[in-house]
Amino acid sequence: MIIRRLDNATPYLLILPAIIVLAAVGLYPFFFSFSASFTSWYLPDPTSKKFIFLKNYADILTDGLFWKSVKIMLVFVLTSVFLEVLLGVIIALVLDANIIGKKIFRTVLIIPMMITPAVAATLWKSMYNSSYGVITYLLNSVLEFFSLPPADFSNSPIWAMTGLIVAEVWQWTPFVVLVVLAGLQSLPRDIYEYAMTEGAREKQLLRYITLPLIKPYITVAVLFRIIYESRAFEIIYLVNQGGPGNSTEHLPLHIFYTGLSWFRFGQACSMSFILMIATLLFVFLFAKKIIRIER
Amino acid sequence: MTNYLKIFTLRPFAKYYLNSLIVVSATVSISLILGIPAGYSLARLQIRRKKDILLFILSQLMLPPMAVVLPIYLLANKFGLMHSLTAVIICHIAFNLPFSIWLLREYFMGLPIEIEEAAMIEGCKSLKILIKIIIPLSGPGIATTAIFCAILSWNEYLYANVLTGPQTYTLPVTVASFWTQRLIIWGPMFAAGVMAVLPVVIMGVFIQKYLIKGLTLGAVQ
Repeated sequence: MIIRRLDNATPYLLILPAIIVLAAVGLYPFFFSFSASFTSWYLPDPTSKKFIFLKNYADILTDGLFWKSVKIMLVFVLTSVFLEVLLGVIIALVLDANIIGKKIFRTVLIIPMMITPAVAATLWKSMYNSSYGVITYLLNSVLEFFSLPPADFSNSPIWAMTGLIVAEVWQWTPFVVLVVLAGLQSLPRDIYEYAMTEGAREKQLLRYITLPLIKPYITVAVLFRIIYESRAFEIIYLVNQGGPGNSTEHLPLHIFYTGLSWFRFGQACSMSFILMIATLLFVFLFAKKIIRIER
Repeated sequence: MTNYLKIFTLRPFAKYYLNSLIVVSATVSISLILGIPAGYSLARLQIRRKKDILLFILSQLMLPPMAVVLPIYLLANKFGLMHSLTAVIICHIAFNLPFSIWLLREYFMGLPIEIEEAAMIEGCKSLKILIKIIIPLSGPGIATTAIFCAILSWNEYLYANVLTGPQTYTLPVTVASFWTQRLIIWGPMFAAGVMAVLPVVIMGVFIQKYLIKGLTLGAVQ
């Protein structure tokens, strides 16, 4: 770090514009949401903005729908992240070994991440369509063969959730692969050589050397994925609009509907506030692992 | 082929394409203009409470957009920016900035410090150092950040949906709009999807080296 005594004000001036923009669009809504969450604001009626203390919070915390959306969000996030990390680590381990066509594979791997989530969601929706969907058709052929009930992505809560998780995992596993691959490629090779001279076999190398060493990378990937997944909006909104009934309506979507469809703005703001606090707590708990403040 | 032609007759598709381009270019340029000085000063200069500022920026990175959409919707209304591209651009900048500052800061910290020390001995002040030395050296870093900003902005759907109107839709909103309440216009929808996704995918394939570096730089210590 360089200490500049010549121009004490410059560093602050350099940051100021960025901070102003961030504060305006990030901090202001935070406080606005906080104050609005204590009102009974019904959007079409401007006179309804009355201060009602903690009634909003009491209402939503006793509301079954709120807790259902929280549960759906947890199911969605945790299952997707778990599958992404599992597949991601396996694929990264495979890619790390010297196989032919590694570069082509890596190029192909990036593509799902680049596709506009909204467009991908529309595509998945059409593939899951009951009448015309490719996936529905193929899946049902297999299921009928085993005399199992057909899969219906629009009417069955379980299939709807499964479909969403599959779509999300498809799109974001490459991210985990890239992070873990970067970690794998930075591992020192001499440990392996030493272990092999001691007579270790492939499986032991994997279990006792590789996996422990890439744990920090997996941790980072998991954290980033959890944070990103809990914000996932396009996929659920576009494919299911909240699913059959509200069986795939996770918390962000529930807030969206409460605020912009039902116009119960006060309640929506209190839910947003709770979501913000939860996310920030989660981030601060793990901030030390992600932040690096040097010198 | 007819599907591709249909998208231009069913919707003012060219206009929406242009909208997306406008939003992305404005977002990327302003994000860089704001982000490079911020990244540099957070990387090398002495600031009181730097840790708090970094934590603030990090928290903005993790903020769920949904929690912020509702107040922004009202704010845009109050300023008469509803259905305009300006509102979308401002939001995109605000959500790209933390990531850009982060990436740029990591990159600047990786540059050798000797050059700056030499310049300081010569009596150069911070701003001059930034403009004349750091920026020319940071080609790859700035390119990576710009690419990430562009991709994020091009693909963004939530704010685009909420804040834009019939004149100012962007591409993701358009593609989704082909799936209407009564009828699903399949052919044109897929055509529109391809056209929306193609630039990003093609670009991604050619610059994957930068992408991977940026992704892992942001995530990996």
